[in-house]
Amino acid sequence: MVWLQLVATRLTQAVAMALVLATLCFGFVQALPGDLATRIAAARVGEDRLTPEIATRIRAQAGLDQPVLVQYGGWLADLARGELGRSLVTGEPVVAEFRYHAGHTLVLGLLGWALSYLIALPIGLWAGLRPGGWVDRISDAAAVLLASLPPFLTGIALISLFALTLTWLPPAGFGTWAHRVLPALTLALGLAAFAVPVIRTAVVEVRGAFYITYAQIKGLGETTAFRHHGLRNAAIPIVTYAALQMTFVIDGFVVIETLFNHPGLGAWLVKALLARDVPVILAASLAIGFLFSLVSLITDALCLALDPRARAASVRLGRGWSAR
Amino acid sequence: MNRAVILALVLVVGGPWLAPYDPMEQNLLAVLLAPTWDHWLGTDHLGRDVLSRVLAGAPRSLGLALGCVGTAVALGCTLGLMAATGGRWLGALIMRGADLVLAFPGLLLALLLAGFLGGGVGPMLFGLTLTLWPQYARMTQAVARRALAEPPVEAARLAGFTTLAILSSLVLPVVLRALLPLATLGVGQAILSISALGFLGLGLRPPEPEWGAMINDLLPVLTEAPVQMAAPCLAILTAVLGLTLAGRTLLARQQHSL
Amino acid sequence: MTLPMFGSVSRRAVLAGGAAAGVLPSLGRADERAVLRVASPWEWTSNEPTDTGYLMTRLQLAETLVLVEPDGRLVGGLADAWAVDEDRLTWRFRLRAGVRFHDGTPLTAEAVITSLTRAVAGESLQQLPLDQITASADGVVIRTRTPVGHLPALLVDYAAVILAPASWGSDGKVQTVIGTGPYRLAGRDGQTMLDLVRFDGYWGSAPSIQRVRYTAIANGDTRTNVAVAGDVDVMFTTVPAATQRINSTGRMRVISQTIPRARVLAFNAGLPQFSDVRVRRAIALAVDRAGIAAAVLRHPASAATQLLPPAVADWHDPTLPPLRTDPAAATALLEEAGWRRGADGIRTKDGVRLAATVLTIANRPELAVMATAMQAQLKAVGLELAVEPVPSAGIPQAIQAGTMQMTMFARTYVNVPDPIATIIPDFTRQRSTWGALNWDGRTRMQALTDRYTASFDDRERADLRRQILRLLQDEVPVTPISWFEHTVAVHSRVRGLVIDPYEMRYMLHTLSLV
Repeated sequence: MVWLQLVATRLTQAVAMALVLATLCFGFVQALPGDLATRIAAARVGEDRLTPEIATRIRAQAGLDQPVLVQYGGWLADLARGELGRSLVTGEPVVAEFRYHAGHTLVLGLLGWALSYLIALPIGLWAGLRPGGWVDRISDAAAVLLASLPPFLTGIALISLFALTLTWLPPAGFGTWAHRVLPALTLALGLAAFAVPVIRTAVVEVRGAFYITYAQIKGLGETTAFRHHGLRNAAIPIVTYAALQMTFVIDGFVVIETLFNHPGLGAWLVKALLARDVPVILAASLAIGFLFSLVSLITDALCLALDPRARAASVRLGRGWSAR
Repeated sequence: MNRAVILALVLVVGGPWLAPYDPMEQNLLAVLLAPTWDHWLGTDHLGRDVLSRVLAGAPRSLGLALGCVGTAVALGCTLGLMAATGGRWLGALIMRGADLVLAFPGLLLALLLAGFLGGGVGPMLFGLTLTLWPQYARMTQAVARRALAEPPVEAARLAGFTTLAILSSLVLPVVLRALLPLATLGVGQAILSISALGFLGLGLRPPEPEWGAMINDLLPVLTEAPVQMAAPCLAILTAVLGLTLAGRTLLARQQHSL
Repeated sequence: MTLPMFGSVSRRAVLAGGAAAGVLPSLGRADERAVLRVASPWEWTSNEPTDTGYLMTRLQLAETLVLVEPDGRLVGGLADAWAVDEDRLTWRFRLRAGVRFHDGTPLTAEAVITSLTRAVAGESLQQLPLDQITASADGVVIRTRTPVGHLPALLVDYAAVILAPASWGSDGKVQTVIGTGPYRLAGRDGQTMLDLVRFDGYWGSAPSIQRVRYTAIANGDTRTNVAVAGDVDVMFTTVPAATQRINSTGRMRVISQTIPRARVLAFNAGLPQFSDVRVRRAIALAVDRAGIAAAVLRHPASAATQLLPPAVADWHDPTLPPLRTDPAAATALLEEAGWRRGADGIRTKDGVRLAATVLTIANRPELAVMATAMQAQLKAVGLELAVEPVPSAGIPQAIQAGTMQMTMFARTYVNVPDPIATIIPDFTRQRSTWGALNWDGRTRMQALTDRYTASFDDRERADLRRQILRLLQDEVPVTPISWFEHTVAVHSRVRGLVIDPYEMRYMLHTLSLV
């Protein structure tokens, strides 16, 4: 019952969010200075062959000469039929292009995200269980340093070391697992730099909580007490944070996909924005809005599973537990 | 901490003044010179003095970041206070708006704006401010709500003070104190965003000596000009690191005093 | 209704991504060594020859009726002979015998007519005053309304590639590219990766390399990294500034060749600043081309002395006085034209400041750097320049909006092997996208180009070419800054590289691996 209600509310919110975001993007693309058709023409035939005549032809073909509201209405009507249209540059169906690019981004994103926790969890746990210890101090310094570096510099440094100097890994490209290591690692290091302090703090706070002290009074060893009682509680803020990071992952992709020549969503969206490929921009913003809502749904569900007390609360509030 | 902020401000204001050469002046006969007594950090691919450019970059990178966060704090604060004190609908409207902006990847949004409006200081300021304000609005709303429920506010309201007076004298100081660490960290992140835009070639227009753009310019000649390349990298690192540490100190002090 | 669809899309996307490695034909470890890895910045945007035709000809998937050799000679492609009738309007092309498309079907006159008609409709061959194309006993007959002496050169245009009838879908769009080239398209992963396999039924001599994998790498830094790592066999269009870095590793070697593409500075001659030819000449004299070529492009030989480099022998006049740098002469010209220095060092005349914003194309980063270098040089003679990189569509937009003051762009003059096809649209119109704007010499230019187009006499044409080049050099509707160096990085295991300055083909058929 609780689950159903949560899922239903959140899915409605997700759809609304996606639609509003796409509508805003539509308005925004229209409001940007410069002629849409000329931009699209330049992306299609290349700058050398760009002439006003070609732009005029594309404008008529794509219906860009119609009033803005008519164009928007047409898009909504298509959407209601589950039709996202074709890219104005490539002529391919937007859904097919989205699927292709999202596939690449998801694999790399999940890989980088998982890798970041493979790095951050043990370090964060260790640092949190022994605050002030050498692991804590070194990891803290490293995390601050990494967080202060632009992601493209981390990427360049990794490429210089592993691809150019040691030549263990390819410097760019896609298709094999070897190609995914460096971009995933770049992503993971950036994410871990923020995750380590969060994990550490969560662990430190839980360790100081009364139920651990109580368990210790009961006669359990410190580590056992933490394992039995603390882990689940420490997990809640960590899960919330981890899920939130997924949206930052999308940001990281803009730079990482460019640097590693990876055909993912970030590169796709940037290309579409530069070419003013309206159907693609709209579809991508729909997807991003929906993804964001979906991630927060998963977070809430996880927290709900971890903390039974919150179930009652979430029903009372009629919304997600973590949404404050 | 205070010393770090003062040093940062000195650099922002005095950086260009400290520069030994004109940061835009080229000498095509003296490109990519290794560091000498005349050019402590060498010269870049157009023969411009790298030290001067790094120093002149301070107001662009650091100063622009400060400007963005400052504007975002002002906007976020105003909207957050309106959400906390205004009606149910206004509050909901502002907060959903904040959610909406947070849903869109920040760098992409800034890219969209800065890239298409021509990549000047104005569009960049606009784009980054737009992506940054929601977090401050959320924080303001939360802190202000708590502050408004406290006894002194209750007393002031009974004594007949206007909402504006209460907000400015009792609530705003609390809010700003709470926002300061967040904003300090935010400046660091803004520097990173500006440099990322510069790296993608969508940031400030050349020949502006922005740190990210300097890295982008020097990357093809990395092996010939390692010092010149390292200089803007270190500038970004130091600035962001200093701000992060300062933000953390502030945060720790605040939690301590609570 | 959109809900379940999106859910399933992202799920399927995960599966698709996971299987991405398996999409391409799988190659064994030993086979992988035999694959030629080629990279360039250009993505396979669509299947349409008008959009992506240049990749089809460069990767030698599809061919045109006429081909150009790297030395500029026009040779038979899918047509092995041609002649023009006495009327100078009727051209007869004989189709090469025994040519087959990649799907095994033979080349027919109908296929040629379909492809050419579409190319004309797509505006790439708009200069061709086409009357009609008809089939003849052994080929096709092309009739024009007015005489066009350079018609065979126009047919080298990449949009005029001949595709098999099966290439087109029912909607009239190209579904699959079925050409006649020595390589056929075996697989494509997105817009960035193509797999080519040698076509055994090719009419010409078979290439030595059987498999080619092409990767498009749009980002310059990424291209540099890949070249430094030696993770590619041939990389076309490397970043010029990175040449030394790539060479220093010893894995790849950068070869460069001057090609008929120029980086030019164009003026809006309708503005009071630039309407006087003396001002334009002064700017041409103030720019230090050699310095820019050496420092920015790191290739001193690429400094332009006239519009086109010696590589196009027909259109390079060695007797023409070369462009030179002389700031003193520039200052004298500006003084003579009545522009006086103000307090800030910038000249004014009748209340007009000698200032302009130069638009450069953002995705050609060297242009902004060159413009920045010119900024300092022009300031010294009293002209204030602001540099603004814009997307490539920004320049035509500024021209249409009437806000264009100065632009700097790279222009290829050999879209087809005869530069006349580019000179006509660039210098005879009032508003050309990539050339002169409001230039008062355009009528004189038009008179010359009209005569050139109608001429079938080699001596007369050579004389007209010299006059056209002299007019451009004297009147400065644009001023060339540097020629383009086509930079190609080659792996030490590759032999037989030939660079085509016309960039029509990557000449993959001459390569071999050791």
